[in-house]
Amino acid sequence: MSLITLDKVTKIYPDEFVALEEISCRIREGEFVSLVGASGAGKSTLLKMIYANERPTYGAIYFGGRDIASIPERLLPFYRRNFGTVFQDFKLLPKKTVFENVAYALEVQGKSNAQIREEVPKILEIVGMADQMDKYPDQISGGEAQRIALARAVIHRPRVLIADEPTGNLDPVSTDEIIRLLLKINELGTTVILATHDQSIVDRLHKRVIVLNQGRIVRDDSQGRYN
Amino acid sequence: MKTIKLFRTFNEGVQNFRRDKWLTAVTVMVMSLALYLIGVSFLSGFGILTVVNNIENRINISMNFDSDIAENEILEIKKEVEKIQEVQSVIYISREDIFNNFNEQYKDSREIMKTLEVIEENPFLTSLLVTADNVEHYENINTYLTKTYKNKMYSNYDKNKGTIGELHNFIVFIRNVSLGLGAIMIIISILLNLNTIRMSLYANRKEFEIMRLVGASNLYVKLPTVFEGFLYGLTSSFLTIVALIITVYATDPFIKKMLPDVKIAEFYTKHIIEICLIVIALGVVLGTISSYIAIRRYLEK
Repeated sequence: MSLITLDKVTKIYPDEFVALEEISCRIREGEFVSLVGASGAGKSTLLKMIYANERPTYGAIYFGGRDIASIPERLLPFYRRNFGTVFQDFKLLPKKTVFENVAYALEVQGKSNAQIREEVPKILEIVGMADQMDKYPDQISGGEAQRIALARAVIHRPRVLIADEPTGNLDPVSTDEIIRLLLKINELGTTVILATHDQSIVDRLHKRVIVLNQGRIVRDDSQGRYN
Repeated sequence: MKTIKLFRTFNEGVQNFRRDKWLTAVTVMVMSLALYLIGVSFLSGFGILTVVNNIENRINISMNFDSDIAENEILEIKKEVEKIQEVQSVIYISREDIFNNFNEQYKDSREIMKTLEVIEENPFLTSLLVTADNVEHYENINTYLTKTYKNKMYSNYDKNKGTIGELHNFIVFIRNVSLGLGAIMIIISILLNLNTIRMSLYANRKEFEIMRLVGASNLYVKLPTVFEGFLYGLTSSFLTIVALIITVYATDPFIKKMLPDVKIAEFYTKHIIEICLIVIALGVVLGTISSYIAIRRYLEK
């Protein structure tokens, strides 16, 4: 059974720009899906639709069989807790330390302080940032910031990890490190949706590849390559 | 919301307040200025109203009784006049008192004293000084008094009517202007305050987006900001109280020289607790509500 189903999803912005056109596909639980395409192909828009940051103009998106359009606005934060998100610009909270940034994902869910004190160092250990817990985002490198973002995205054990161009601002070494972590997270059972336009990454993964072009799916290969 | 989450949002508000030192300093300074403007408007209003009230209290109708009217009868009339609804007070002044006061006042003027000697008797009349509760009521009171006691006394109202009317218009004008200016100052302060908080939130707008992405509910994003606004208000009100104390005591000697009746420092000292509580309440309410309104707008977008 599929975890996420997109049924003829179309997104038209107020200026009549068609970002997505009749997108239909299914993503199963535990899959690793690469969403590829040139800039402006609609990758980020599609991801925003999945974690309900934007609503489709037409069509429907189902998560675990439930149409997410039926979720009231006030309950969307709870829906979003099914996801962990990682972005090109890291989106860390600048006034919080590394520890506090990661802990925030647990705090909003009302986890106990004891649980936070136990789990945050563990995940920071996994991403190799345990020794930098007290630093602020502006005191660490881009690669380190992305590892923190990844730790924050998965600490609450989401069902889906959404990574939108996570290596876009990183050097090759940091890129390898992030991809290795994404694969590890996927191996542990989390569904990963990776949006990228980095051909070398996609070709190395040997995972499912969905190619978008001008808002339409032009290819969907179960063990695909970029081209 | 769970208690632990409430505690966390409060903690976060304190953290933001502490860590964003520059933004906090600017916001608190502008908020203090806004509160200070309200405080100064209030104290100026108090001064102006004191002066105006003093002028108003000096206006009265003098009922001058014929010398053959007995004191008892005048005192009876006093009681009757006091019963008139529009009358605030009636003061009895005997002709002897007036004579003694006059002598005392002009004892150094030889000419006046000589004139009195020529007259050889007390030329003054026993009077009742009638003060109305409102300047507008003098006309009606005078008509009633002249009609009722027309054979026993004459009033000075008609002679002073023009001056009283002008004074009345002036008092109304000053009151309206000071109330209008006070209201404008308060509105400016509230807008200034709202805008300052909105600008400080604008600097943090990206963080609200991140918080929501991480799974924070709108309330969880809102509350730290509201607590932060509360702290801005509280700190600003303390600064304002200090600034007002300095202003009041520094300007008091000059005000006393120009307007001896205006006792701002005494008023401030007497009501210091109430003034502090009002400023703190105003600061806290303004800070909290402004933050709430501003953050709500951001989260609605």
